[in-house]
Amino acid sequence: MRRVVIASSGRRAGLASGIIGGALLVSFASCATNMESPPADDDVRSSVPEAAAPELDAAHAEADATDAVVDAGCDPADPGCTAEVISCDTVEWCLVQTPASPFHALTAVCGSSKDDVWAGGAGGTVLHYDGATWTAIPSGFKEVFYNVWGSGPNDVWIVSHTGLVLHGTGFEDGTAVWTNTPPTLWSNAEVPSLRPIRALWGSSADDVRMATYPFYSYAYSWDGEFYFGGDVNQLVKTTPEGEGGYEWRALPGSEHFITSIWGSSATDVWMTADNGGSERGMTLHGTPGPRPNPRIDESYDCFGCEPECTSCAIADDLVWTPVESQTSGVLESVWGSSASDVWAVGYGGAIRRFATSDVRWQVVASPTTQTLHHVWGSGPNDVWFVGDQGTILHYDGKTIEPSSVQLPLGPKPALHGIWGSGPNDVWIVGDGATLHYTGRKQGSGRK
Amino acid sequence: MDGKCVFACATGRADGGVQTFRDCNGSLDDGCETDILTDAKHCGLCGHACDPGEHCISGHCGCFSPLSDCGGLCVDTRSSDSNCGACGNVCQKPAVGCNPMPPFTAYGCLESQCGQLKCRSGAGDCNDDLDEGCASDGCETPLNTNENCGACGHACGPGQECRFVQGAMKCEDTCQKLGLVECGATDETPGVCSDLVTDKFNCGLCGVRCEENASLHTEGACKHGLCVTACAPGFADCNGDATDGCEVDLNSQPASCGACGNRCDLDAGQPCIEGKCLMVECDAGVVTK
Repeated sequence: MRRVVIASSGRRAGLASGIIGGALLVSFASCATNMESPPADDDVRSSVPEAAAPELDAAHAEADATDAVVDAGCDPADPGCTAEVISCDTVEWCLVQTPASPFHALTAVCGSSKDDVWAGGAGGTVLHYDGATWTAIPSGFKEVFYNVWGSGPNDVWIVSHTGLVLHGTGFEDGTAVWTNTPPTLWSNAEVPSLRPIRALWGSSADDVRMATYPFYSYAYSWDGEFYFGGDVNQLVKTTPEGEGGYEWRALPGSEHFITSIWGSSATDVWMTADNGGSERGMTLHGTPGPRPNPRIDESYDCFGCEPECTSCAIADDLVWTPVESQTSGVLESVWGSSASDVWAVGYGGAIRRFATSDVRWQVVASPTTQTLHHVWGSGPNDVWFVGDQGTILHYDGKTIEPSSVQLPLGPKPALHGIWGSGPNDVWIVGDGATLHYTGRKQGSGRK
Repeated sequence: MDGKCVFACATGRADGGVQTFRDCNGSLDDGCETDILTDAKHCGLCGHACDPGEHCISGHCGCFSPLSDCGGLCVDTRSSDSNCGACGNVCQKPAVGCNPMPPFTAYGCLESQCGQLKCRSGAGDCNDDLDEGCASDGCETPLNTNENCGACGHACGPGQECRFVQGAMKCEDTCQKLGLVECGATDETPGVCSDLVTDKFNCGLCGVRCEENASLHTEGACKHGLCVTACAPGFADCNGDATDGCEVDLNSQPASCGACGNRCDLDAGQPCIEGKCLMVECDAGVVTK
């Protein structure tokens, strides 16, 4: 593995000490907006790991490693094969047992605090961690859940497709109640079923976005007087005044599939999208635009404003601008520590970074060619990247380096999701594997 | 064999199937040259020749009764519209027929006779009135229901449902009973049972088809309920550009022989054969005593 050095730039000069105020971190907490975020200073990082999950003990792991070649089921010479389970004591990331089936991928993890973490995955898997134990919550479904997001402990979304969007009010008395709430549109138009929903993000309980493949639908202008018909693939939660409840606004997004959404606030939102062809690594930046938003051109059907209007206005506060990502591979995840420090990752190990003044994404040299599926961090100098074949990379403000990890015997699992309540409590989920990071350990140095 | 190592034809395939090529001429030069499933001179095993004019069909000479060998296909000449009564006798629509046709009927071959009113596929004459001809209510019963599954009166048992399996409607355990999910069902037709964790046509969700592109040498698979697109065996994406897929043939590309960037000695013209830079044994030179 190559050690990759990120060219330092002036905007981080003031952070040389690596100490960042906790209050600052809260503002760019990623999953739940009110999550706990202890400071990311190095003193904390080197502290004794908190006793938390029932990690696989080293003796057990070593016993498993006996006859590893026989048990691994893969060629030990293959770099994608784990023939021996490393002791948890010597690595930064340790396996944690969960009730999830090893045959099911866990796709996403997200929480409101270190004692309230949700994970979802294939086979209708929904898991909750209460600070000590992972518990399976039977969902009654067999479909894959692609993403989990919540604004707080009592407002959690877990999404699969346009016919399966679970909303939960939190973990209570050892379980949780989930309600399937397939999105209904403000325009009363139909939403086609079984469209996969991967992208899910919100800035608050009332501002939630999810996205799928485009479908023909109708979108209103804010005043509801005229509307357009065209392809939409964003669904944005809306709470009509005085009506109670909520509905979803259908909005145009990209021409094809939106893979991820993240924003530093309701008015600074990023999307990664797979538009096919040479635009598989499409990114769009949503920033405030005029209201009404006259973004729809004449190629769309415009209703209710004939004859005077030549273009429709729609109920989207954001104007979406394509930003060159310098990759033709799909970008699967976007996250930033703030509006001025955004990362995106994807195909073939691609890592991209965007700062406020950039006109396009910067190419960041990557130490891996494995596809990266998710990026998350607790702050600008503590960013994690996870992907295929057990790949875990860390950026400390200067370099991106592979981290050390305990993996189960056999082919190295793809790692799909990462989230933490703070720098020393971070979870990774993947194909039949759940990993926990509780702070740097003596002697476990990043490889 | 007999204390010596000899070449043998592989009998198994990586996908678990049976390899049917054999070395019937005893020559190593053309390897395992004969497919014993189709070769009329070596049908089923080397040296077993079929009678003149007879085809080797699935390793057997000719067809089992009551089917007939029509140009290498086993057909039932009692009901085949293209081989009615005899091979090659194609039924024509009769000059005068019912107008309108009774529901779900067509003219074709029945009891080796052309021009007979018969049921279209998937429909049954369960009230047995087709012999009334144009006055009948035709093939009034759909044969894809639990009550009439594949045939009139063939009802499925408890915990079973009528599904299209291997070319026919059959009573099968329900998807739920099998621990699977039913995909592609409509109000009229049942779907197929799918394991959403491994089915690359229904991966994670019904209808999610894993991306693959033969011209880009990529293959899709469903693993753990998520799609994975990987390079086809022997190919690799060495330039990291997704638009040209897995652009390098590792078996023959001297600049990436066996692995990306593994260069053969290009100056010396060293070729890449089957993923290895070709080495020629050294000449032993002059041996001196």
